[in-house]
Amino acid sequence: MMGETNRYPFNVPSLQSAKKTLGDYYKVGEDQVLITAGSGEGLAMLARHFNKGNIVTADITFGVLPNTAKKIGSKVIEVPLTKEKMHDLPAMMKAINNETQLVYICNPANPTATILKADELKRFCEGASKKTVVLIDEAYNEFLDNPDSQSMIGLIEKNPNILVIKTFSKIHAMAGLRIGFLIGHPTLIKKLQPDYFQSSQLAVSVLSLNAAMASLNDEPHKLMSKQKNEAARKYTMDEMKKAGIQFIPSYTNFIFYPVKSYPGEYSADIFEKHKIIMRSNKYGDGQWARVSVGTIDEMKQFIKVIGDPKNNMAAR
Amino acid sequence: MSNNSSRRQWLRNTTAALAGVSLAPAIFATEKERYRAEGIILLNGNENPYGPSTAARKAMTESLGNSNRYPDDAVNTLRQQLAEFNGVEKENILMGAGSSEIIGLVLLAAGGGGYRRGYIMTAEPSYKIWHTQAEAIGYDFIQIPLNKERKYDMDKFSSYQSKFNAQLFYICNPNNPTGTFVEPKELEDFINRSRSGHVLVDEAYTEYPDIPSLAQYAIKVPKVIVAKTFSKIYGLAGARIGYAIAHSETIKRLASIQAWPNANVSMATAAAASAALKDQGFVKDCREKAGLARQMCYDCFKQLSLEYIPSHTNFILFNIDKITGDFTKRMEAKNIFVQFRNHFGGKWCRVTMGTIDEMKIFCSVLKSIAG
Repeated sequence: MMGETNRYPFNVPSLQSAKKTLGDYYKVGEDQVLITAGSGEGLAMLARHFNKGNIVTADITFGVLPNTAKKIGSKVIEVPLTKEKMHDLPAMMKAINNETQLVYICNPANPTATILKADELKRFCEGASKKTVVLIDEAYNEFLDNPDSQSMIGLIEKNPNILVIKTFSKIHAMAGLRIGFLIGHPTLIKKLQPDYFQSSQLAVSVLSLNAAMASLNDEPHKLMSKQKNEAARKYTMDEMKKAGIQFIPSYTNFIFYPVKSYPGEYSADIFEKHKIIMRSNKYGDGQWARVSVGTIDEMKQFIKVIGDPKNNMAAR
Repeated sequence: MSNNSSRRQWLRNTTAALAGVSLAPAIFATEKERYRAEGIILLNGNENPYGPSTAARKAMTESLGNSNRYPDDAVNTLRQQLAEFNGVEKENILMGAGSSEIIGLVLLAAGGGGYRRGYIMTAEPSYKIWHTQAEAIGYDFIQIPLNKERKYDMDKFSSYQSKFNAQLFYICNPNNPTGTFVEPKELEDFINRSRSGHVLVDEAYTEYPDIPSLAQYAIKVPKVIVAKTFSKIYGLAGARIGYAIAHSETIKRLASIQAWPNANVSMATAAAASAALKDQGFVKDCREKAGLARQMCYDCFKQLSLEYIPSHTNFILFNIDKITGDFTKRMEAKNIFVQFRNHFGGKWCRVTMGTIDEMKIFCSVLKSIAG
């Protein structure tokens, strides 16, 4: 495959079946799949596509789609999360109006790591999709115990207004390969295609796409990723609890925790003092940190740092 | 349907897609069906038959283990390297998954970031795969015919700009599919006189004639964006990497349209590009071989009295009005894939320069068909 990187994707025969491979895996037609250079690319494209009215999403949520929409001057209606940092579905339903073109929900949620009950989300999707397109971002779905029953892909067959976006950056551990994809009704997927230069697949390296297709069915690797993540996450949450550190229980490969009274920029300081690279952000209710779940050894290091009250790196 | 004929069907479809006719439907091929084993010669995509270089392959192999990480650092280093190579600053460089992504960003930026109506002035014939995307955004096109020498007609561009208030000029230099180019100095003079909001200079093929890039000029003039690619002489079409060179403020505006700035390039691709850029020996070698292949084709066209447009790139447009029957079908029957074009009121073929051996076969097949 390396030797074929001089050829455009359309001149590499083995890649012509990528959409069918994905379609078969998720039990949809190949005309229901749109491959993008990471799901971030797909999210930005959707923000640009649905630019006529408003977009309803949560505050806070994964930023690419709402931020892109705001940059091009679209109205974004941001519905606050509940106190438990959960999506407030009834409030989001109420926020939808005649101008709404798209509802965006990241489930499991980023950066909060919470999940919605599958039947509640399904009901929401069914109700909201009568008025607008509903996009569910399932980047972290495979970290759940029952990923299939938690996925909204099953709704798409009968509902042209539901879209699901997924990525190879998480459970497949291929963030550096830049492969994501959308699954939707053929009519909607067809409408999105001209937003791209010839084909969205042209933004994807032949090497990456080949690797992604090989990983799709690599169940042992996915199971290993999931189990190791679970073990390291459980360890981290248990230790945080023992130390009396506040956090939002996580269903993903990262943990969201408040550092409200922390005086400086948390992520900059924890990197400088302890060589841990993570994210922190100031929100309406103060500063929060998001730590990705690394290997168990890495998480031991992390706990050593935040577990020590002298370091003042956690809220108790 | 045999493997061979299904592959031909697939290649026909992709050739149609290349010409902007339709998107390629998926045709299924297995690893065993590889075209190389069948002796199929791909002269349809202006790819580099020699690439990627050994250094680029090695770099890709070595970087694969880092593919679980986002490519930020690797891409950042590459931007610095590209800045030095082009004699500009890192802030003048924006990475894209192919220059195709850069063109898409410029289309969006020139339209105000969202979807707005407006005019794009470009030439006919010129590279036009981006037209579908431009139409989706809401642009109309003003296509200025090439001049007698089959070059971009900058005088006509000037005279037409008063009639249409174009938001964007798209200039492919050297031009695809003619292989001709406008002197960089002449382009600069034209841009100085022009009133368009944005000027996109697509330099996909500049390395073949080895003409100067407009990079130095672009970084001083905010409306100019130069698009470069690793798909051609660097032999990395499938790795999907290109970049923009522009004024730092322009780069900022383009970057703000990307989901994450510079992030659509894969880890292995960034490593390959970095190694390829250092391997200028490979570039020189490919340039020379493309020159030899062109000369071989010219000799063949002359023998057959076929009109051709002298090219400075890795492809040649030649006239096939004299050849009877369906030219591409007749070539495909001999396992050679080229592009059919309707230009200048006649039938033409755009042939990519393959390896010297491939071009020997191409010439002998052409002689058997047209002789």
